[in-house]
Amino acid sequence: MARKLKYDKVLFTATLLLVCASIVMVYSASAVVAMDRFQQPYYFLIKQALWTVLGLAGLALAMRVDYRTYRNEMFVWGLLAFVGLMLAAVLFTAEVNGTRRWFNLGGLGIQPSELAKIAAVLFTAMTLERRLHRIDELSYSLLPIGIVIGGMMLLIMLEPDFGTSITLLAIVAALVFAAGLHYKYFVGSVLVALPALYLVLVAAPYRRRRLLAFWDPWADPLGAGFQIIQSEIAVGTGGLFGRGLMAGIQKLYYLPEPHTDFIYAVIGEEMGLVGTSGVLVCFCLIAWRGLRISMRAEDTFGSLVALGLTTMIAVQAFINMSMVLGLLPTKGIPLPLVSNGGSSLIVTLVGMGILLNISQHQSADA
Amino acid sequence: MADTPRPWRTTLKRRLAVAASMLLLWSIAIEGRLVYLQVYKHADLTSRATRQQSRTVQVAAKRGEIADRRGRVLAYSVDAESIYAVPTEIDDPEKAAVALCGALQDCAPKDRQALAERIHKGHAFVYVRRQASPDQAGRVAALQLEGVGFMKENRRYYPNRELAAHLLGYVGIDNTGLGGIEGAYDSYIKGRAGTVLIQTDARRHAFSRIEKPPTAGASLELTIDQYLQQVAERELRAGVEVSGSAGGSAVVMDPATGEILAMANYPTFNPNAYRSFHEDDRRNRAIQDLYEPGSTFKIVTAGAALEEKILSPNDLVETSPGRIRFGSRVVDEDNGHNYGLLSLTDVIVKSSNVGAIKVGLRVGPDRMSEYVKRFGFGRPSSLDFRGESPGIVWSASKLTDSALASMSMGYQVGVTPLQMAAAVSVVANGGELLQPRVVRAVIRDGKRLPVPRKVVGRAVSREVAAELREIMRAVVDRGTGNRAQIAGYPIAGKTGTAQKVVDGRYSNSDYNVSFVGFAPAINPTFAIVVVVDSPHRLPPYGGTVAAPIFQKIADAALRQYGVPPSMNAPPPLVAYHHEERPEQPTSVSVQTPTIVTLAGAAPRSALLVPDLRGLSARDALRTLAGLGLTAKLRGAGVVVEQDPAPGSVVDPGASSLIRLERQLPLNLASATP
Repeated sequence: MARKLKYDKVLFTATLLLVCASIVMVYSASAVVAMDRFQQPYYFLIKQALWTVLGLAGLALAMRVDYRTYRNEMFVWGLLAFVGLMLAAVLFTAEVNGTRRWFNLGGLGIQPSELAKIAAVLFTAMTLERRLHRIDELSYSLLPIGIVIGGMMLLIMLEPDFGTSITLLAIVAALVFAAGLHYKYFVGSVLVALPALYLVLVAAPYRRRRLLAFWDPWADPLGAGFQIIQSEIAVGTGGLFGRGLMAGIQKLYYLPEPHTDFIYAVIGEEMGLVGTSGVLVCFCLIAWRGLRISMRAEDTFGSLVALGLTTMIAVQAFINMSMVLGLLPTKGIPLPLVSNGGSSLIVTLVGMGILLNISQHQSADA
Repeated sequence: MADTPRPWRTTLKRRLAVAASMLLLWSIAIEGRLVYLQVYKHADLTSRATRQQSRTVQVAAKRGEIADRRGRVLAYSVDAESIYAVPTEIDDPEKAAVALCGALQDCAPKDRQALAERIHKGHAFVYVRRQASPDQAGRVAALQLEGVGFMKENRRYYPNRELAAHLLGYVGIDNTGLGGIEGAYDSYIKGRAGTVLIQTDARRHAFSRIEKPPTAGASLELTIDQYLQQVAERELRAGVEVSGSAGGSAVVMDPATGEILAMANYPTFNPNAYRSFHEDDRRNRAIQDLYEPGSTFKIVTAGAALEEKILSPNDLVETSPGRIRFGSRVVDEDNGHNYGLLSLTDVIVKSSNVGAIKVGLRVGPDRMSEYVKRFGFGRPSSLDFRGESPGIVWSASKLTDSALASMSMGYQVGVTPLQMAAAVSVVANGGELLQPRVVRAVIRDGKRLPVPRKVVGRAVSREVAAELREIMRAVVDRGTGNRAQIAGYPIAGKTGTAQKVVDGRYSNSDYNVSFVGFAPAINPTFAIVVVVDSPHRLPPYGGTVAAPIFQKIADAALRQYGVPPSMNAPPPLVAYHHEERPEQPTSVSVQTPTIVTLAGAAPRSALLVPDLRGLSARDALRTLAGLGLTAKLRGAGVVVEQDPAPGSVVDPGASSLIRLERQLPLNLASATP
């Protein structure tokens, strides 16, 4: 029988640790840039602290809302419609750094694609729960998911934001995989995707250059390889214990986005192997507890939502760290909970809240 | 609440396990990469970081000054701007080169091409012009070219141009002394370059500087007297030109201390532009050129015979029939003389070859080579010079009678003028061989560290030195050296004439002629060596070519140093001075400044005004008179001010104004409470 339990303390603690680290590191990484751009060093710190307070409030709220509330078809479709509208509307905003990803609300950037992640998790979980028994009938189980998520991905690609699309794809793939889709479909789609991916990469010379830079950054250390090299230098200089908080130098314009996408490199330089490993351990804990919650959840919807949220945070974190360390080509994916950025932080914290709520409902036979 | 179907829960568990293991593998890969970068590659990446984040800029140290014995600066360093380019910041090398050349105003189209190519090659750093003139630097700075920068470097400057050029040496573009004192004392005067470590962000803005300031080099006070150096160079040059010679050297040494007061060479060069002179002109003949000393070496032969008590000055030596035979080799007297019986003194006075050979044979090879060593030949005489030749001296075992005979009259030995100066100082100072020195003191951090006198050893006893001195006096009084005489002063000396070896055989047209001596003969102040290479317009003898040069240098030196004449002294000079303090009973009632005009030496070319300060009125006037200058006196006592200033160049016959003041002697003044 179902039991009512306490929330998962390990998950909560790991999340809180990362959020605290985030405030410190965002300040360290951004102080000089903020001084340069806004003539005051606390600009990003204040914003990040504000977002953290909002995000933690969201987390507390989500923790108390029974996750089964989201199972309501009206709610999910309403959320989807809202997200879809926002994603379409954001394409008409002014361009920032060559992209259209943010609504500017009084100096605060709202990123609808972040909300799309939660919407995708809830929608896919809801749909799969109902069509689980005929999962291998693709047109019945996967087609509606493909249409909805594909549509969102398309809108996000138009911003363009390749990283978030990848995250959506990873969430859906994980859920479909967990739902029990036969392995042959995964093998098949990989076989189809590889040549397609190759064509895409070869077609655009700038993508090919990026990929080459990933293989051999030193071939063009001041051009395409610059980001990877600077990131590795930052991490490498840290050594075991780092140069010390605030003492990093690579954030002084050597690193492209020291307080957002490359904050893990700043952690590496200032806090050393101890700091980077600590962050990695926190994300591993989150992934472990998330999968554990998914496995023990009271019902299919809870399992799938838990897995989707866990995938959302774990995949982004692992991709970001791999990218900073030169294991994957650079893509604009932030380090969840740690990178500076309000929408991502709030959405991730709300996601953690939902996860913590699910952790309070466990299946008796798990 | 519909329970989840059991079979799906099993599937979920399996699938989640797969997902979990994938994430685990991924995290292991990330941790492995972290360890690789932060532990294994830590040092490598840190050095890369340092390289890109910091620039080390060398700050050249100020090279120490070189001054003469009275503090007159002979060499100093000034800051000069060097212009460099950073090729990666220059888009169009051709255009940049054209602009730079336009501003430099002195480069040919070929230079411009070369500059463009250097910039094009893409090194991190290229010099556009090192040590540019201030005007050039200003014009280039005004262009405000991207990628062109400036840095301060030292430029060496020799205010007196050729003066003591060979002795001072010169400094290369990298602030390294090349030759002379600049080379030998480079480690003292170079100083230590400082560094500035600048940390920069990726936009090359500096955010921190760590400076290690340069340490300025030590200054040197030389034993050289700029005035004597000037005189020696002037007289040597005149002598070389009059005699149509290839070159020459003159060394003036203080026989009591070993201090070199002047070292002149001709031909000479300007160290400010040393590269435009031939290497031969830059050679310091006085220490690098070996010559066979000829008869001047007979002093050593006589010294050995006297010290070993083989002969006394008045003992007779048979020189008939004016030649001596060694197997097939015949040695004659010069000009076919036959002197007959000669005293040892007269052997030297008349410079009899046969006499010297006979004396040398009686001394024998062992003792002869011993005395050659005792007089300082066959080894470098001083550490103050780089590239000093040790000379050539045959070992005793190789001295056959014929070789010994040659050596006794100064052949088959190779010596330098500096060695000769040290050897003649032995006679002048009473028998001690002193190390010749050219650095009087090293001045570092405001502290003056004097270089002490160094006695190498005793060559001959005091008595023998006195006997040799009398012999050498006779040479000047009534022998081959009569052209070295100076009215009022006893002079000791010896002439030398030696055939040069040209293409492996003794030449009949090229001679090394020399004169060695000291003045005054009693309590000598100066030992002087003059060597002239291949005179062609005058009879090639030491007495005709070198002795007059010696005489002129010694004359000026004696007057400059105020050495009182001791023979047939001229009547004391009387001058009347305006006395500014009438209450003093010693005053003389002449109310206007006295104009004293002294008949001096014949006017020559432009003259350097000597430093008269501290001299008495009489000495000051005598010094000026020796140079053919006149003076107005004001006041009484010692000279405190003079116009023109010391070191100024004036025309012969010019008049100076000298102000005198009575001063308590320093030691008395300081003793007064």
